[in-house]
Amino acid sequence: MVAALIIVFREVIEAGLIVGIVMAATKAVAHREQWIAGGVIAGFLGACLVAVFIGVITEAFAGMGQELFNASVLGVAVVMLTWHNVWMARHGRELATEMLEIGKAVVAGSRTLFALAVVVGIAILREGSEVVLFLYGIVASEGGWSASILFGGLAGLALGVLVSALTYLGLLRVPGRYLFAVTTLLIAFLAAGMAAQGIGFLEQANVVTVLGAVLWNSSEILSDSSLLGKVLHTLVGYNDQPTGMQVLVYVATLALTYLLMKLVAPPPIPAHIR
Amino acid sequence: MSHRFRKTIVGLICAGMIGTATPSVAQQVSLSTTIKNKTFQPSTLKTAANTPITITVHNADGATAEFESRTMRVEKVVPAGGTIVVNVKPLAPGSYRFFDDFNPSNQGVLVVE
Repeated sequence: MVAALIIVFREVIEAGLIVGIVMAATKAVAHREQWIAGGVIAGFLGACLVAVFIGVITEAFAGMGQELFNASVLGVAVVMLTWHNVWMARHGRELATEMLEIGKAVVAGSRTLFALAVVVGIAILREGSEVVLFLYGIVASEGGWSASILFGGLAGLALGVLVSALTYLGLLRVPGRYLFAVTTLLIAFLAAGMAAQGIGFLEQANVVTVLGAVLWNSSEILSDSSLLGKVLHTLVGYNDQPTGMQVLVYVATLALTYLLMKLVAPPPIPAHIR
Repeated sequence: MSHRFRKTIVGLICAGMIGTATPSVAQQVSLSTTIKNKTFQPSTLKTAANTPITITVHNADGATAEFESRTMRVEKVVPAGGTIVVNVKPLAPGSYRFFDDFNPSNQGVLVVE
């Protein structure tokens, strides 16, 4: 039971952090609860579908289906996260200061909510499918549900929700005028980390072979499978043995986000209007 | 920047990528193991150093497994009754542990000589 609890918790922690960050990032946007809840439900259904069709996914693309599937969903999440940051760079001030009429702000807000709901869905799909496979595996090998598996699974799930809540509440303690900057930074690093992870899957599938040598090995100092390592892996994409290509893509994602945000940012409000 | 100059730079970058993408590597080695009764059989694999490796893992049990190795940098779900292949980059001599992440007491080692 403890083993089940630990495995489930380790899988839900990443999704939990991401949901917490998304909740904080959309604090100023109306109707976010429905969108995020929709992302959670879609992610859970997706996780079950992936678990059911894991055999088909595995055999697809000459046996590299899992890697390509993971790389693809991570790629979508990176695009959505970056799009959110760029969109907020353009419209964040309007949303925060309610310069737009309420109705217009809701319509505009729902665009970025859609992007972040997709991110939430993907996070839960990726981690959730492993939980479903793991728990289903135990059930199949032991010939039925036992109370301890059920308890382990539910407790792990509750811990994941707790991680979300703590991340969200922790971020809300950031003073209001800094919150937007903090969540923007968190989302940019989240995207860069996911981009590097996606490239890692493409390297696993031998699709990307350029700059494939491992740049450094810091697993002795901080393993990315330890609890702290895993949290940092999710938050800033920490990897204890990254390849050259992974580092390149990581830096490029951050640089591109920065450039796009600069490019679309509205001109500063003239001093005499302020 | 002149158009031709830019073309030259793009050409050089592409040439560099192709150059690194086709290194002169030794032949690929194929290894395999089976998860049966919650253990890797065999649990010790052996291969030569600096050779690209593929490891085939068959799961003969009814429970899903996840083949994982931190030192080899691989992690892949092995469906019940299914078979997976993982690509491993050429390794330096040493011992590389692998395990079933869904059942961590099931472990094995790849010895690279």
